[in-house]
Amino acid sequence: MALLEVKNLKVYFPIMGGVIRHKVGEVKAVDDVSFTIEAGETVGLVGESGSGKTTVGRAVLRLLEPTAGEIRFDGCDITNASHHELRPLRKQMQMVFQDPFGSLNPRMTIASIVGEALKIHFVQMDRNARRDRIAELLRRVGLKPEHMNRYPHEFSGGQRQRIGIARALAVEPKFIVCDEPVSALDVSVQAAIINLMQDLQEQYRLTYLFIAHDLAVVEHISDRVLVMTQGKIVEAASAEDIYSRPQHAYTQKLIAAVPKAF
Amino acid sequence: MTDTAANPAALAAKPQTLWSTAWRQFRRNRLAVVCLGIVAIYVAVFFYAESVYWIARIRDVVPSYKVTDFAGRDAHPSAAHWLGTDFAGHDNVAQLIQGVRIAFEIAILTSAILIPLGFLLGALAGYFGRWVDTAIIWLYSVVDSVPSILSIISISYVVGRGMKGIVIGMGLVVWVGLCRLIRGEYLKHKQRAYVVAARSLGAGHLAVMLRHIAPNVLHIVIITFTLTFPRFILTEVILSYLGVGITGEPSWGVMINDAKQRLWLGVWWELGGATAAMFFLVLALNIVGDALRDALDPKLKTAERPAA
Amino acid sequence: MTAYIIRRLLSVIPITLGVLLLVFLIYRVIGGDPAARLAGKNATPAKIEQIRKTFGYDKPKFFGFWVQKFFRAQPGAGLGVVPVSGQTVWEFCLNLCSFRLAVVSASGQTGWNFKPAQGATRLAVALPDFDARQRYRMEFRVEAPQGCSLRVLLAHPGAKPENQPIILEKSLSNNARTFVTADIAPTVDLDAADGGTAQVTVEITGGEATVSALQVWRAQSNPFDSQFWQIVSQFAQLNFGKSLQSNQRISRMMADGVVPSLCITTPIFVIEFVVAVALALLCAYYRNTWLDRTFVVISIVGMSVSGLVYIMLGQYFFSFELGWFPVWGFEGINYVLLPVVIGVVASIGGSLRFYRTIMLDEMYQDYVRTAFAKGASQRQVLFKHVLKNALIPILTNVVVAIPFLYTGSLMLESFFGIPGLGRMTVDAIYTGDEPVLFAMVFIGSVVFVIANLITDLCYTWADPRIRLQ
Repeated sequence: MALLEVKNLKVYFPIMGGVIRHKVGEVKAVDDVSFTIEAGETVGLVGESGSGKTTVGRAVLRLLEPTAGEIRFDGCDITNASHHELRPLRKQMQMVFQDPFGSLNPRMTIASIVGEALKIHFVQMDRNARRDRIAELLRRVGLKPEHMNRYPHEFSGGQRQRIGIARALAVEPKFIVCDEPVSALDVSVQAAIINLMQDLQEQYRLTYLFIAHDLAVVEHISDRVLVMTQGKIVEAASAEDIYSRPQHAYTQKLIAAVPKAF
Repeated sequence: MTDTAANPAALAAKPQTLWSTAWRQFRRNRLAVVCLGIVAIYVAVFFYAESVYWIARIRDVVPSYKVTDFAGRDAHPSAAHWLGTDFAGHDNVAQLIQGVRIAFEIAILTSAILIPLGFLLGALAGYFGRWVDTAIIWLYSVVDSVPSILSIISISYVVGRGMKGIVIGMGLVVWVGLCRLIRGEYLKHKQRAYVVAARSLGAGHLAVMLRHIAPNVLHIVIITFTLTFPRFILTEVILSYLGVGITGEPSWGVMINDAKQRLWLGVWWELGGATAAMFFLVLALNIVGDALRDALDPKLKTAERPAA
Repeated sequence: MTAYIIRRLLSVIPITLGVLLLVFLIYRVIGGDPAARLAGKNATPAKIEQIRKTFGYDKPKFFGFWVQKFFRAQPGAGLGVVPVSGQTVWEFCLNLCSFRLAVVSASGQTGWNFKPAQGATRLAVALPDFDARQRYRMEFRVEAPQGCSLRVLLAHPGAKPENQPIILEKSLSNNARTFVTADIAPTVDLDAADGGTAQVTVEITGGEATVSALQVWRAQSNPFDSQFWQIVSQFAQLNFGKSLQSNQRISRMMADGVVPSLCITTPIFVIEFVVAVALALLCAYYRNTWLDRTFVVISIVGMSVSGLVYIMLGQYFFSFELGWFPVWGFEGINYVLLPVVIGVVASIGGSLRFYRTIMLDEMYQDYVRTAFAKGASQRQVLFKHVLKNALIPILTNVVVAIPFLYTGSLMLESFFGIPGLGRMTVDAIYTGDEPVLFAMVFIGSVVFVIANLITDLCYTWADPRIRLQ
């Protein structure tokens, strides 16, 4: 059985206007998208900015209200689950964000950023156990545990992205949506982070939905690739097939845009 | 820039909060540091005056600054009374010191109304948007449409003379500025990825509003407090003049108004003393407030047209 | 864009209504009973009741089928009814409106203890101006720790309790805490003619009880016959009522006061604006030099002195000591000069700092840097680009300050005896002339709302970015 099943997902945003600010139209950010992700798999989701890929990522975690469609996680329908019902599921699905600067609260220490998930989902854990767990998580993503009382602005972009990964890992999730986790980083740092993510996938048997705007990054890490444009998935195939035999004109354009050096 | 994850040598020796960074920035402004010192002196005087007031109250005696001495009334400055005495023989310096107490009490009590009110409404409007936002915008547009001096006078007048009227009047009117700023900040912050991250961890709206976003906008409360403090002091003078101010205690407004008639007899030291006491505090607070804003949030627009 | 303009125009309606509501809340609700305030400290309840009737303060505040009624409550002599905490036996109802939102008796007077030793204890509630054709309702709260039986009887004064018709009969169990409502229907046979006094008796037997939160209401058929809607309809017809002091029409007084106020405020406004903008430009031109810093310091220093002190010292030195200007009155140009100078001096500090901030904000925009990069001179940049772009915030500030023209300067006018709106307001505060204050605050706000509307419409015309919304 697939870990994540998305059927006919639609996310529309209303456009308000007119004299009384009523709905005068809608932006079809995600328009009838269906796909499945098997456990342990990495699925790449590629498209240019504005294609709706981030919206898909947020909708499957129910951080956005879907307009229509069905989202099933691990067999249960979460399309209309309430905040309360979602809580146990939040432990199983997590997200890593694009912006390593905006995704960490500047007024919280690393320990409290990573530890918040533990406070919410492992209520029985006492202070010392939590500290040990945070230290272990930091070590696991390649940071020094003694830096846990530091603030995000003291770290570099790559280090912050590692903190973001540690935060996502803290709840021991099965499934992680990686929303362009490396596109804000320098090229040399990108590789290190991707390698880290691959290591973690092996170790914890994680499933990834890996969102990116260029094929080069995705090809390296993904088993399958979905190509999205204007709210629709135009092509879905294995990573090799996408590269060697692109079917859709848009995919071909994307491939042409990848720098040769890669 | 390389990923120095394994060896973050770039980190400073001690963890640095944004507050400590801001403090370093603030310290560079010499004038502001001097003014902070002046404010600290006033705070010390405030505690002293408060103790004089409370000791007299607990012992159930007339406090020294209220002991009348009609024989020595309207005295000129002398060694015993540096700023002379007033119409009932009260020492003007002792009264000025109590004026510090009244000014701080007004500021603290008013802030106790306006900060929770402005913060809460601003946070709700900015965070939830939609109809909550519409309703709160309507509310503050309405309050803001009434010229502030008129609404403060009106509320103080109906509530009745004294500290209560002043505090409620200013508290219920002045929150609008803070509310606007906080709303803007919440609008900005709720779209930041760290908020989405907290939501994806399962944090509730209240936790996101208070634990995650609030610490990021707290500095605005501090700046607002420092920059509205002078406004409280200056408004208190107007309210005293209009007869809806403090009664029975020597506030600066009361002193200035009492000095009104005697100025024409050439008695200027009473007015001069109260004006000077007010002036240095207001000036210091204005400068400290500006410096705080520059250090904590240089882009913050707090410039408001002063009330007519 | 048309939609935006229409929306903006329509938004004036809820804001104006909101302002009216706010002023109404201030003067009629949050300060407690307005009639008691108007009557003064030592007024008799009858006087207060008369004021309440004259000004319609007995009507529901916003909406309601019930009009609050004044009553006098008096314990039956020697029958063991004691006012709680020894307070006066006069009791009024101070409810927000005739819903159950009632916040009862802010004065702390709460009720009566009934201690029936033997027989019955009675509290007589007298209702003056009783109209036998109307329906009345009495409501109170009873607490009876050991239970008791309770009766409400109706009679006119002097009648014996045995002969009084029973309106309500109730027995309360142990630890009863309940609201009791007694309806007095118009069918009850009463001798009391129009305007006579009827009497309702609360009688308690068989146990101690406390009666509190007693209120009496009269039914009214039109629920919108309320204080708020009365004001709305009056103000819509530009009828602001009459002054309590002079008995003049307030609209007339305002029309008379506008000209003297404008004589003071217009020159202050114009001079201050021109000087402040000129100095702000100068500061922007010489930014971060000693000149700029000097002006910044002067403006902060100027802001830190109370306006009252400027007025007092100015009047003392220039009018009294030096005799250059008249001290008091409004009879010619020289009466206006000194107030204008003081007004400008007192407010220029804040304005200068405000305009300077605006200019410097513009100064550090990218387009200014581009202009410099293209080789434009300081002066060109300042006048061609910065001033033009800063014009919008400056304009807002100017338009927003327009209500100041109307309300005048409260203190300046009253110090120099200029018979404008500001002095009118100050006098109204001193004398407690609430209708004048109400109208002044409301009109001042409406002027502001309109000024704000004009600014926003100017924006749409001046700034192409806003049209896109």
